Amino acid sequence: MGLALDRPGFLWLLLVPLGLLLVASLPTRAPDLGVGTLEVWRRVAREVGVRGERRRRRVPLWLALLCGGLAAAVLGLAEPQQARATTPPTIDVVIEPGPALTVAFVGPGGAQGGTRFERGCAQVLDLVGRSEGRARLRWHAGREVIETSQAEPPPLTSRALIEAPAVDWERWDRPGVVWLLSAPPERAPNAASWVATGGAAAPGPIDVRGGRVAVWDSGTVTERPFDGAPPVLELDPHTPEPWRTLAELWARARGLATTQVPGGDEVDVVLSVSVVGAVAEGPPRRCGRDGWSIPVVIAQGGAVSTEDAPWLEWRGEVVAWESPGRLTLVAGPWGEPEGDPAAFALSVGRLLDRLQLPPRGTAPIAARWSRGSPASHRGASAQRGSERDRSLAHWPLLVAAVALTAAAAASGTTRRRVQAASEAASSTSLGPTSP
Amino acid sequence: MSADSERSRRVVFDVDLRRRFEAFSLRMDGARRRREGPGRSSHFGAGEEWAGFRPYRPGDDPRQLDWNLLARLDRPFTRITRREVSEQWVLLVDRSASMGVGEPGKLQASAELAAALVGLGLRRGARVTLLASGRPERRLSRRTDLADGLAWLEALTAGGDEGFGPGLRSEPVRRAGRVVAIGDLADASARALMELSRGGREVLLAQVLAPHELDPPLGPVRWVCPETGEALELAVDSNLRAEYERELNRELEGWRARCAVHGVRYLATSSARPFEDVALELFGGAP
Repeated sequence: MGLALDRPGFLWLLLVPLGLLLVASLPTRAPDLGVGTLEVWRRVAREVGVRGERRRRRVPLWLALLCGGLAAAVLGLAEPQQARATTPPTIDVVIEPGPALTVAFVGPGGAQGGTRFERGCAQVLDLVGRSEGRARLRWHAGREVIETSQAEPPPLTSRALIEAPAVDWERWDRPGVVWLLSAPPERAPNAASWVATGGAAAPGPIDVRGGRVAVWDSGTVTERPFDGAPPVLELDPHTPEPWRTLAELWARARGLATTQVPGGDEVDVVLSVSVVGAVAEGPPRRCGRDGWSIPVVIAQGGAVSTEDAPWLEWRGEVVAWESPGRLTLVAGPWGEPEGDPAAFALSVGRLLDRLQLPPRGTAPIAARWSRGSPASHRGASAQRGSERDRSLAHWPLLVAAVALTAAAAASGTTRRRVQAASEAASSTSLGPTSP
Repeated sequence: MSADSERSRRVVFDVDLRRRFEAFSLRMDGARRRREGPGRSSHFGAGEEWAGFRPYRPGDDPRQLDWNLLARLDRPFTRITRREVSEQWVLLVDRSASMGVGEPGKLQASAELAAALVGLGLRRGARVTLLASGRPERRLSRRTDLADGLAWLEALTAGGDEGFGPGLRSEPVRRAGRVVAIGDLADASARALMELSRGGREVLLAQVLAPHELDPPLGPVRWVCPETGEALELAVDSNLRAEYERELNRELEGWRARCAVHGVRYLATSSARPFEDVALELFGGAP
């Protein structure tokens, strides 16, 4: 981190204090003063132990302070800043999760041009370019963070946007943050900027089920045969009962294929059930919600770390996590659910419905609804942080003020000392003697 | 040599100075006349001359009471006297090279003091002799000789290393009732000066020093002795200056003590002081 000067032309003024110091320190010939007899001075020099010699002039303290103060003042006028202020700030762009941004952008005339996300990226780049100048961008899509220069959009897939978990928008309400949304936010941020892509309703496929694809257009849904591979529920081979049976039943009802082998890119996995940890021993703990409960053995001290949101827990120990497209379970063993079995099945079915991602190439109707006109709002600038660095310019001025005050004080002290010495000297002149 | 030091070596009496000399001698003489009524004059001289009588006032010297008038008129009268016209003053002015320093120069200040005393002496009817080494003496006896005396003084230039020189043993000095020696006393013979006071002669010694000799400036200074040409360069700081002041005080105290022993009036003064102040102080307020 170096120093940069806003007005380097002022540095020429440094020649003034430098010149003063140079002149003051030049060896000079002492002025000649005649004296009646040298004897007195010779005796004094002998007593004090001073050898008469020409010597380099010592720069007095007040002059050194004065020159230092002038130099500091010149630096202050040149307005130094930390180089950090000149490096481009980094802007965090937080992208709305879900499929709404993945659908095509439909303009007012019905013209389509890329996705809402691509449109939003262009808006963000435009907003940042206008308000921040050169900047680096850090795009946040769920857990995925991509850093780019200002000129390029992030290489994010639609799946990354869809799989992104919910965003704590309040946490991101600060200067230097841009929200990338499909529609204006319900609650306007205090400091963050935002961009809403807007866009008219985007007709298109909304679901794939049982070899047919449902297409939404102008308020009606039509079905067409689907000739692609069906969406898949990916089950961990160690998925415990009764989760395995329930998941398979749910997949069958939703027209999904089930697999226990991780598929490649060609497989459209819309939900995966995974298991963490090892099968534990111990007393079963009863976890429950929505009017049902289920016993499960929890491994002691074997807390499982995952960034997904808890869905089922026992006294703070999570046994099931959820995130878009994924359900994560502890290995158990799990017992049979107690209470109303239908309540358990309904609760889990709703969970899986919620977690299921839209099949590839589709988006729910809600995501395709109109988002209105494009809009944006410029919040607090990210430059504010670097503006504080401009306060560097005040430091030299402060130092200059202190140094000049000290110089004045030192000069005054010297003058008083000289005056006192003069008075002492004049008091030595002798009055007359009378016989 | 710089223009300043050249100026210091010479003596110039401008119109204003000449007026001040005249005014000073008039004022001092008037003060003496007013003062000399009661009591005895403090001045020495070869003799005193009767001038008249006035009624006796308490405090008058009884020896001046005229007993004949008292017997004749039955009232006391005091004899009024004035100095004899034959009173002799000698003014010795040091014009050695060391007197050519200072601002104003020591020689200029010494000449001004001497000029004031010449005016005063002539106004009192004294015979005044001016002496300086290397210069022919000048004897003055009438008031109209003042111009000659000023011209003689104005022609002085600082130079040489003789100080008061052989003038201390000259014939006018031996016959004088009052000798005033003015100089910086650098390398002066204290013994020869003190011997002047023998035989009841009134001796006054004015030591004139340049302001920078009394109060040396701080910083580097090359001290030069004009008589020998020797130089000593010193960076004068407050310590060195304090030590110098102590040493100078010792030197001046030595002169003061010697003069006190021999009954010589002594004054050390700065060449920057007005000659009127110096003269009054030298004579104790009553020249």
